Amino acid sequence: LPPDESASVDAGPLVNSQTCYVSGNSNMILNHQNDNFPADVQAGGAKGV
Amino acid sequence: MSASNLDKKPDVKPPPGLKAIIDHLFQVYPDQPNPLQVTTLLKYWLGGQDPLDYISMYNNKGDAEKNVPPHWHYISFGLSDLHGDERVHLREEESHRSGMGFELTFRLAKTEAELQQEQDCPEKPLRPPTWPANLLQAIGRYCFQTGNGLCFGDNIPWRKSLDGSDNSMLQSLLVAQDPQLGCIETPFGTVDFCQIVGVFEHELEQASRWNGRGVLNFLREDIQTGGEWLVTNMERTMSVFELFPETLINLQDDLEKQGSDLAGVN
Repeated sequence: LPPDESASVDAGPLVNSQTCYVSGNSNMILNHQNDNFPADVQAGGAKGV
Repeated sequence: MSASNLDKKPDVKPPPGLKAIIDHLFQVYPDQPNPLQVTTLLKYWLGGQDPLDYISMYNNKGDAEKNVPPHWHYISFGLSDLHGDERVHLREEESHRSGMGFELTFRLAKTEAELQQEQDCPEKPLRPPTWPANLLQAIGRYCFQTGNGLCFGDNIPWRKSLDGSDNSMLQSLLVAQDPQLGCIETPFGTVDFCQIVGVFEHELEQASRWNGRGVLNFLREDIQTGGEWLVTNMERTMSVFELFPETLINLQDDLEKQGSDLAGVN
């Protein structure tokens, strides 16, 4: 996948109102642990990129 | 996650290596089943820059009897093998380790202002600082780029303030075994929890001359220098050798008796 597409696949739906980018790093967001699992499983099929 | 969202995705589970660590952390923090977590939007195995997929952050109340102050506890996910399908870590037949065989942890003492705020508004949960996530990612990048792991007792000259501020004296790191998390078995091998501890340059110098474990033992002895669980206090203004000058003399004696144990990251 091109980076922009894989980002959208991996990010998944962000449902937590506390979600925000981590200061100093636009690739990291703050969220709750359990909110991340759906995104992780969705991205699991993108192996080998 | 709200109940409605759980209803939509009932079968979603984390991968086995990730789940093993989460389950272990749940044993330590049963009151915090869904901690705040820093997540990479673009995972390393999809071309992202940050090798740690997640960094969980727990609220640790400390232990007054053990000289452990209230603090934030950060734990990384990604140096060990989370998925087991070689998307990040190649499996080695002879290895008993999961991925690189360790994860990073860090304990940050709460500031006076945070403690006061907790006391004044107990119903309003505080949010932990996120700069330690950047610190852990930077160390993770070093490990991935060089292939070097970390061992207990290693020292890391950081050469700038850990939190990026201009006024902290803590500009170096030592590596200890996390006192609460230890070592676990996962479906993909063992995982050690390596706690990085912020130290003064002078403390790092002595760790380089002698050994890191010896200096860590000195730091454990007093709450001002981390206490038994080696909690990093960014507001610390004196090194252990300034606070307790006799430790430097003891260290010189031990150095003569035991010799040096050099292990550093440069």
